[in-house]
Amino acid sequence: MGDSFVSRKDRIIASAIEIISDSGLSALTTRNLALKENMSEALLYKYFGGINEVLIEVVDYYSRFDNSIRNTVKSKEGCYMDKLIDYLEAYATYYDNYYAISTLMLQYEELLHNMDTREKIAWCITERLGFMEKIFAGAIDSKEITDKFTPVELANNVTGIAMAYILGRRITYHKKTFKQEYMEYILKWIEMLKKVD
Amino acid sequence: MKVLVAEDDMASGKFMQKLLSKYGEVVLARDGIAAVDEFVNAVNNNERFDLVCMDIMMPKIDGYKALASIRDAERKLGLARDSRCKVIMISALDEGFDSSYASDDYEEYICKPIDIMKFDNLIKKLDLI
Repeated sequence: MGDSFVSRKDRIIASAIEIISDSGLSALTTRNLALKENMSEALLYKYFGGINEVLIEVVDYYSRFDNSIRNTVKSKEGCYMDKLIDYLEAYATYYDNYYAISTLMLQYEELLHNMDTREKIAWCITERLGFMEKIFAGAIDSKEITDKFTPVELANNVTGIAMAYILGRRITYHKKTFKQEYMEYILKWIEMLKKVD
Repeated sequence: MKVLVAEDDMASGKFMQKLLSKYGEVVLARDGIAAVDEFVNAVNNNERFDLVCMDIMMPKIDGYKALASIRDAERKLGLARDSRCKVIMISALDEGFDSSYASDDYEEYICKPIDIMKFDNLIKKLDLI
């Protein structure tokens, strides 16, 4: 009943994210989306010009809170590694509670091949990595962590591990939540970076 | 007092439930669409929420959009502006609150982690207790 007060466009985007999560990016077609929304394909075109327009909105939704999270982390007191933990925890909590949206992290390459989403997703990836690189650079300069690795390597490592954990959950059942699993690893990894000479 | 807590995070939701249950009935919604759903169902059953605690980062539709839908529902259901429910926006994104968002639609905005005393004072300030 409440659905009738939620805008149709918003519900279509939520359904699109669920389709991608359940069946992959290739399953996101106007036909499947119309079926899931219990509407005709013709009606779907009233809201979106085509599937790529839906996909652009999905990518927007995926990166919707990025600036807010970065600004919040920047404003917090504490050392660089505490900021990194806050930053990663924000995403881990969000992905834990919205499992479907985490699928976007596994679709980067496809989204980069799509000319309509390429720019947006490239910007999103670059900004996320860039933000972490700055944190790592600060941590290295202030000798919080080892300088054996470059900020780029460290940011890639954190991102890669997140992708591996998200992928792993789509293959087998995991008793722990994504946040528990990922943050446990991150904390151990940070401790290791602090100890390496 | 009847409260709708729109909160996707289980731990935060349970905390809010515990915090608010001393004042009355608490209904928990785990995503934006469920929150709007609960709200409209209550109105249709001639019940109403006195307070909505709305998290911002939520699945399906975020807190901004869920709030807009709730206000839209109130208008369409013919609820006068002065009888609409009170809304507190809640987020961990302290520096990131979207200031362009219509602040007219909510009464207060608070950051996580929630300070119990401050929250109680806030409810008093809103004349809910």
